[in-house]
Amino acid sequence: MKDAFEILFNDYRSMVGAYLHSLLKDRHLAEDLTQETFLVAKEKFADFGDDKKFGAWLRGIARNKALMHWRTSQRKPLVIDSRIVDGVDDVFDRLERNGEGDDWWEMRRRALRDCVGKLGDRMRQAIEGVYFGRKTLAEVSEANGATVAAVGQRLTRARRLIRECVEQKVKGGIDV
Amino acid sequence: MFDEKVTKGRVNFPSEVDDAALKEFGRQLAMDSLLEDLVGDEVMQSKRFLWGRRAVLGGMAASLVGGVGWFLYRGGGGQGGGDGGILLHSSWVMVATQDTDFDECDSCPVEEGGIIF
Repeated sequence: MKDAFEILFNDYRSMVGAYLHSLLKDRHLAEDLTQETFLVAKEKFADFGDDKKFGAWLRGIARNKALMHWRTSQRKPLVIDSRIVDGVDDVFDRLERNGEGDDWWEMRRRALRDCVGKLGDRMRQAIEGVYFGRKTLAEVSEANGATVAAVGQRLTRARRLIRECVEQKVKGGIDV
Repeated sequence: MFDEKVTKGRVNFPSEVDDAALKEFGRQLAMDSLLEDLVGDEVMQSKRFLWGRRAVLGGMAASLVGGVGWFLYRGGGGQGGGDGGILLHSSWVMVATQDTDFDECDSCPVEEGGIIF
Protein backbone atom coordinates (compact mmCIF):
# COMPACT_ATOMS: atom_id res chain seq x y z
CA MET A 1 0.00 0.00 0.00
CA LYS A 2 1.35 3.38 -0.93
CA ASP A 3 2.07 5.83 1.84
CA ALA A 4 1.19 9.51 1.60
CA PHE A 5 4.69 10.59 0.76
CA GLU A 6 5.01 8.09 -2.05
CA ILE A 7 1.79 9.33 -3.62
CA LEU A 8 2.98 12.93 -3.36
CA PHE A 9 6.34 11.96 -4.76
CA ASN A 10 4.70 10.48 -7.84
CA ASP A 11 2.52 13.55 -8.26
CA TYR A 12 5.29 16.09 -7.87
CA ARG A 13 8.59 14.66 -9.07
CA SER A 14 8.14 15.86 -12.67
CA MET A 15 7.27 19.34 -11.46
CA VAL A 16 10.34 19.51 -9.22
CA GLY A 17 12.52 18.27 -12.07
CA ALA A 18 11.18 20.92 -14.41
CA TYR A 19 11.62 23.59 -11.76
CA LEU A 20 15.24 22.67 -11.12
CA HIS A 21 15.85 22.48 -14.83
CA SER A 22 14.61 26.05 -15.09
CA LEU A 23 17.16 27.19 -12.53
CA LEU A 24 20.08 25.06 -13.64
CA LYS A 25 19.55 24.58 -17.38
CA ASP A 26 21.11 21.15 -16.99
CA ARG A 27 18.72 18.22 -17.24
CA HIS A 28 20.98 15.64 -15.64
CA LEU A 29 21.95 17.85 -12.75
CA ALA A 30 18.28 18.72 -12.29
CA GLU A 31 17.46 15.00 -12.09
CA ASP A 32 20.13 14.46 -9.46
CA LEU A 33 18.98 17.38 -7.37
CA THR A 34 15.38 16.23 -7.74
CA GLN A 35 16.37 13.01 -6.03
CA GLU A 36 18.16 14.92 -3.31
CA THR A 37 15.18 17.23 -2.89
CA PHE A 38 12.89 14.28 -2.24
CA LEU A 39 15.33 12.71 0.16
CA VAL A 40 15.30 15.91 2.21
CA ALA A 41 11.52 16.14 1.85
CA LYS A 42 11.18 12.57 3.10
CA GLU A 43 13.27 13.40 6.16
CA LYS A 44 11.37 16.60 6.88
CA PHE A 45 7.94 15.41 5.86
CA ALA A 46 6.73 15.48 9.45
CA ASP A 47 7.48 19.23 9.51
CA PHE A 48 5.23 19.90 6.54
CA GLY A 49 2.16 21.73 7.74
CA ASP A 50 -1.31 21.67 6.26
CA ASP A 51 -1.14 25.43 5.90
CA LYS A 52 1.47 25.15 3.17
CA LYS A 53 1.22 24.16 -0.46
CA PHE A 54 3.17 20.98 -0.94
CA GLY A 55 4.55 22.03 -4.30
CA ALA A 56 5.77 25.38 -2.97
CA TRP A 57 7.34 23.62 0.00
CA LEU A 58 9.16 21.23 -2.32
CA ARG A 59 10.34 24.05 -4.54
CA GLY A 60 11.78 25.77 -1.49
CA ILE A 61 13.86 22.68 -0.75
CA ALA A 62 14.81 22.38 -4.41
CA ARG A 63 15.83 26.03 -4.54
CA ASN A 64 18.11 25.52 -1.54
CA LYS A 65 19.61 22.47 -3.21
CA ALA A 66 20.33 24.54 -6.30
CA LEU A 67 21.88 27.30 -4.21
CA MET A 68 24.05 24.81 -2.35
CA HIS A 69 25.16 23.39 -5.65
CA TRP A 70 26.07 26.82 -6.95
CA ARG A 71 28.10 27.56 -3.83
CA THR A 72 30.02 24.31 -3.81
CA SER A 73 30.57 23.65 -7.50
CA GLN A 74 33.04 25.23 -9.81
CA ARG A 75 30.32 25.92 -12.28
CA LYS A 76 29.27 29.50 -12.64
CA PRO A 77 25.61 30.01 -11.90
CA LEU A 78 23.16 30.75 -14.64
CA VAL A 79 20.35 31.98 -12.49
CA ILE A 80 21.06 33.31 -9.05
CA ASP A 81 19.42 36.70 -9.17
CA SER A 82 16.44 36.49 -6.83
CA ARG A 83 14.28 38.46 -9.25
CA ILE A 84 14.84 35.88 -11.98
CA VAL A 85 14.10 33.08 -9.53
CA ASP A 86 10.93 34.97 -8.60
CA GLY A 87 9.92 34.85 -12.26
CA VAL A 88 10.52 31.10 -12.42
CA ASP A 89 8.55 30.64 -9.20
CA ASP A 90 5.74 32.75 -10.57
CA VAL A 91 5.17 30.35 -13.47
CA PHE A 92 5.21 27.25 -11.28
CA ASP A 93 2.97 28.85 -8.67
CA ARG A 94 0.38 29.69 -11.28
CA LEU A 95 0.53 26.23 -12.82
CA GLU A 96 -0.11 24.70 -9.45
CA ARG A 97 -3.26 26.64 -8.75
CA ASN A 98 -6.70 25.14 -8.95
CA GLY A 99 -6.41 21.52 -8.20
CA GLU A 100 -3.66 19.13 -7.31
CA GLY A 101 -5.39 15.86 -7.94
CA ASP A 102 -3.98 12.83 -9.63
CA ASP A 103 -2.06 13.56 -12.78
CA TRP A 104 -2.31 17.29 -12.23
CA TRP A 105 1.12 17.85 -13.70
CA GLU A 106 0.39 15.68 -16.70
CA MET A 107 -2.79 17.68 -17.29
CA ARG A 108 -0.70 20.83 -17.45
CA ARG A 109 1.65 19.16 -19.87
CA ARG A 110 -1.26 18.32 -22.11
CA ALA A 111 -2.38 21.92 -21.85
CA LEU A 112 1.10 23.00 -22.85
CA ARG A 113 1.02 20.77 -25.89
CA ASP A 114 -2.42 22.04 -26.80
CA CYS A 115 -1.33 25.66 -26.45
CA VAL A 116 1.65 25.12 -28.75
CA GLY A 117 -0.81 23.91 -31.35
CA LYS A 118 -2.79 27.11 -31.08
CA LEU A 119 0.09 29.41 -31.95
CA GLY A 120 0.18 31.24 -35.22
CA ASP A 121 2.15 29.59 -38.00
CA ARG A 122 5.38 31.53 -37.65
CA MET A 123 5.60 31.23 -33.90
CA ARG A 124 4.67 27.57 -33.98
CA GLN A 125 7.34 26.92 -36.60
CA ALA A 126 9.90 28.60 -34.36
CA ILE A 127 8.83 26.60 -31.28
CA GLU A 128 8.61 23.31 -33.14
CA GLY A 129 11.91 23.88 -34.91
CA VAL A 130 13.89 24.77 -31.82
CA TYR A 131 12.30 22.48 -29.23
CA PHE A 132 10.86 19.57 -31.12
CA GLY A 133 13.28 19.64 -34.04
CA ARG A 134 16.33 20.39 -31.88
CA LYS A 135 17.49 22.96 -34.38
CA THR A 136 19.55 26.03 -33.69
CA LEU A 137 18.11 29.48 -34.12
CA ALA A 138 20.23 29.86 -37.23
CA GLU A 139 18.84 26.67 -38.76
CA VAL A 140 15.27 27.66 -38.02
CA SER A 141 15.83 31.13 -39.39
CA GLU A 142 17.30 29.74 -42.59
CA ALA A 143 14.47 27.25 -43.03
CA ASN A 144 11.87 29.97 -42.57
CA GLY A 145 13.54 32.79 -44.43
CA ALA A 146 13.79 34.99 -41.37
CA THR A 147 16.65 36.60 -39.51
CA VAL A 148 18.01 34.98 -36.36
CA ALA A 149 16.84 37.99 -34.37
CA ALA A 150 13.31 37.63 -35.76
CA VAL A 151 13.17 33.96 -34.82
CA GLY A 152 14.45 34.82 -31.34
CA GLN A 153 11.69 37.38 -30.96
CA ARG A 154 9.09 34.90 -32.14
CA LEU A 155 10.32 32.41 -29.57
CA THR A 156 10.10 34.98 -26.81
CA ARG A 157 6.59 35.98 -27.81
CA ALA A 158 5.56 32.36 -28.27
CA ARG A 159 6.75 31.34 -24.82
CA ARG A 160 4.80 34.21 -23.31
CA LEU A 161 1.65 33.32 -25.23
CA ILE A 162 1.95 29.65 -24.33
CA ARG A 163 2.39 30.58 -20.69
CA GLU A 164 -0.69 32.79 -20.76
CA CYS A 165 -2.66 30.10 -22.58
CA VAL A 166 -1.72 27.42 -20.04
CA GLU A 167 -2.44 29.77 -17.14
CA GLN A 168 -5.88 30.47 -18.58
CA LYS A 169 -6.56 26.77 -18.87
CA VAL A 170 -5.43 26.18 -15.31
CA LYS A 171 -7.50 29.10 -14.08
CA GLY A 172 -10.62 27.89 -15.80
CA GLY A 173 -10.10 24.23 -14.97
CA ILE A 174 -8.21 22.45 -17.70
CA ASP A 175 -10.32 21.12 -20.50
CA VAL A 176 -7.89 20.00 -23.16
CA MET B 1 17.70 25.34 -25.83
CA PHE B 2 16.84 28.75 -24.50
CA ASP B 3 19.49 30.73 -26.22
CA GLU B 4 23.02 29.56 -26.89
CA LYS B 5 24.68 32.45 -25.17
CA VAL B 6 22.49 31.92 -22.15
CA THR B 7 22.80 28.18 -21.78
CA LYS B 8 26.54 28.04 -22.29
CA GLY B 9 27.59 30.60 -19.78
CA ARG B 10 26.72 33.02 -17.11
CA VAL B 11 24.22 35.70 -17.91
CA ASN B 12 25.43 39.16 -17.11
CA PHE B 13 22.68 41.68 -17.15
CA PRO B 14 23.37 45.37 -17.51
CA SER B 15 22.70 47.25 -14.31
CA GLU B 16 19.85 49.21 -15.84
CA VAL B 17 17.72 46.10 -16.38
CA ASP B 18 14.69 46.57 -14.19
CA ASP B 19 13.02 44.14 -11.84
CA ALA B 20 10.13 43.45 -14.17
CA ALA B 21 12.47 42.52 -17.03
CA LEU B 22 14.42 40.13 -14.84
CA LYS B 23 11.25 38.54 -13.57
CA GLU B 24 10.02 38.15 -17.13
CA PHE B 25 13.34 36.54 -18.00
CA GLY B 26 12.71 34.05 -15.18
CA ARG B 27 9.27 33.30 -16.60
CA GLN B 28 10.84 32.72 -20.00
CA LEU B 29 13.38 30.36 -18.46
CA ALA B 30 10.58 28.42 -16.81
CA MET B 31 8.64 28.12 -20.06
CA ASP B 32 11.80 27.08 -21.86
CA SER B 33 12.28 24.25 -19.38
CA LEU B 34 8.65 23.20 -19.54
CA LEU B 35 8.82 22.95 -23.31
CA GLU B 36 12.07 21.00 -23.09
CA ASP B 37 10.49 18.83 -20.44
CA LEU B 38 7.56 18.14 -22.72
CA VAL B 39 9.83 17.06 -25.56
CA GLY B 40 12.19 15.16 -23.27
CA ASP B 41 9.31 13.21 -21.82
CA GLU B 42 8.17 12.12 -25.24
CA VAL B 43 11.70 10.99 -26.05
CA MET B 44 11.89 9.04 -22.79
CA GLN B 45 8.62 7.33 -23.58
CA SER B 46 10.32 5.76 -26.58
CA LYS B 47 13.12 4.49 -24.35
CA ARG B 48 10.90 2.98 -21.71
CA PHE B 49 11.87 -0.53 -22.73
CA LEU B 50 15.35 0.20 -21.45
CA TRP B 51 13.95 0.70 -17.98
CA GLY B 52 13.03 -2.94 -17.62
CA ARG B 53 16.47 -4.08 -16.65
CA ARG B 54 16.71 -1.25 -14.16
CA ALA B 55 13.39 -2.22 -12.65
CA VAL B 56 14.68 -5.74 -12.01
CA LEU B 57 17.80 -4.32 -10.43
CA GLY B 58 15.69 -1.96 -8.36
CA GLY B 59 13.45 -4.71 -7.12
CA MET B 60 16.45 -6.78 -6.07
CA ALA B 61 18.01 -3.81 -4.30
CA ALA B 62 14.80 -3.00 -2.47
CA SER B 63 14.42 -6.58 -1.31
CA LEU B 64 18.03 -6.59 -0.10
CA VAL B 65 17.24 -3.73 2.25
CA GLY B 66 14.14 -5.45 3.52
CA GLY B 67 11.74 -3.67 1.26
CA VAL B 68 11.79 -0.68 3.54
CA GLY B 69 13.02 2.81 3.02
CA TRP B 70 14.85 4.27 0.12
CA PHE B 71 17.72 3.02 -1.85
CA LEU B 72 19.76 5.54 -3.71
CA TYR B 73 22.16 4.31 -6.28
CA ARG B 74 24.56 6.61 -7.96
CA GLY B 75 26.33 5.01 -10.86
CA GLY B 76 29.59 6.39 -12.08
CA GLY B 77 28.30 6.47 -15.60
CA GLY B 78 31.60 6.54 -17.38
CA GLN B 79 34.03 9.36 -17.76
CA GLY B 80 33.45 13.04 -17.44
CA GLY B 81 31.58 13.22 -14.20
CA GLY B 82 28.44 11.49 -15.34
CA ASP B 83 26.32 10.68 -12.36
CA GLY B 84 23.12 9.05 -13.38
CA GLY B 85 21.20 7.41 -10.64
CA ILE B 86 18.10 5.54 -9.75
CA LEU B 87 15.91 6.15 -6.81
CA LEU B 88 14.15 3.10 -5.56
CA HIS B 89 11.43 2.26 -3.14
CA SER B 90 10.03 -0.98 -1.90
CA SER B 91 7.03 -0.98 -4.15
CA TRP B 92 8.07 1.10 -7.09
CA VAL B 93 11.04 2.20 -9.07
CA MET B 94 11.72 5.63 -10.39
CA VAL B 95 14.51 5.90 -12.87
CA ALA B 96 16.29 9.17 -13.23
CA THR B 97 19.40 8.59 -15.18
CA GLN B 98 21.37 9.92 -18.07
CA ASP B 99 20.04 8.24 -21.15
CA THR B 100 23.54 8.20 -22.58
CA ASP B 101 24.76 6.12 -19.67
CA PHE B 102 22.30 3.26 -19.65
CA ASP B 103 24.68 0.58 -20.77
CA GLU B 104 27.59 1.74 -18.68
CA CYS B 105 25.51 2.04 -15.55
CA ASP B 106 24.01 -1.39 -15.96
CA SER B 107 27.45 -2.72 -15.14
CA CYS B 108 27.94 -0.45 -12.12
CA PRO B 109 28.10 -2.45 -8.90
CA VAL B 110 25.08 -1.94 -6.72
CA GLU B 111 27.32 -2.15 -3.67
CA GLU B 112 28.69 1.27 -4.49
CA GLY B 113 25.32 2.82 -3.94
CA GLY B 114 24.24 4.31 -0.67
CA ILE B 115 21.31 3.21 1.43
CA ILE B 116 19.45 6.08 2.96
CA PHE B 117 16.62 5.69 5.42
